[in-house]
Amino acid sequence: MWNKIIDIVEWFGEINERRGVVKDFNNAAKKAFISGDAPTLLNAKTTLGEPEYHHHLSKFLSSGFKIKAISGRELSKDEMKEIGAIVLDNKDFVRKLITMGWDTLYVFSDGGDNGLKWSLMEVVKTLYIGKR
Amino acid sequence: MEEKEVKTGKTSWILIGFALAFLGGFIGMIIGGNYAFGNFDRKTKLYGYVMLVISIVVVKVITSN
Repeated sequence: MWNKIIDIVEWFGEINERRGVVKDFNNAAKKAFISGDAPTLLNAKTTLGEPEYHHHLSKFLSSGFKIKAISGRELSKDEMKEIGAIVLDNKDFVRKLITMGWDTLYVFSDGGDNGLKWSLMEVVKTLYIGKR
Repeated sequence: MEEKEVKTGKTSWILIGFALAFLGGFIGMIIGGNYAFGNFDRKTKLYGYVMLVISIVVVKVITSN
């Protein structure tokens, strides 16, 4: 009985932690945009991840980390690639995303339907190969 | 780090697709099939599968009467 209660409390704690990561990302993006460091305002939210990118820690129905660039126009593939690279270059952040159950990174612009997706585990694999 | 291209469904088209699926039109089935089997993100694909199932069920009910 107590174990079940502890499990439920831990589960809610995890949800709050995941919400905190998204909130922190959005706040940092907002600050960077206001200060002029970033030319585009980014907004992240959790969505469904790609099944082909799943790993052992992936959360069911909420393993996608979707970033929307609010630019007012459709971004080119290179621009979206650049946004993805900025996120993926932050290795600590990628590790955090993986441990908290995300497996897919999406980047979309608000002006179009096309976007890009990355497997977060692939990023970790390149880290491991790099250390050998 | 290899990226892959993906598309997302427009909310307006998803709503139209669901409306047509409930009305029993084959257009709802076509929209659902396009979302379910096209190069769309997981969420849009899931909407597509649901749309497709609703369309098939509604068409089946209509044609059985």
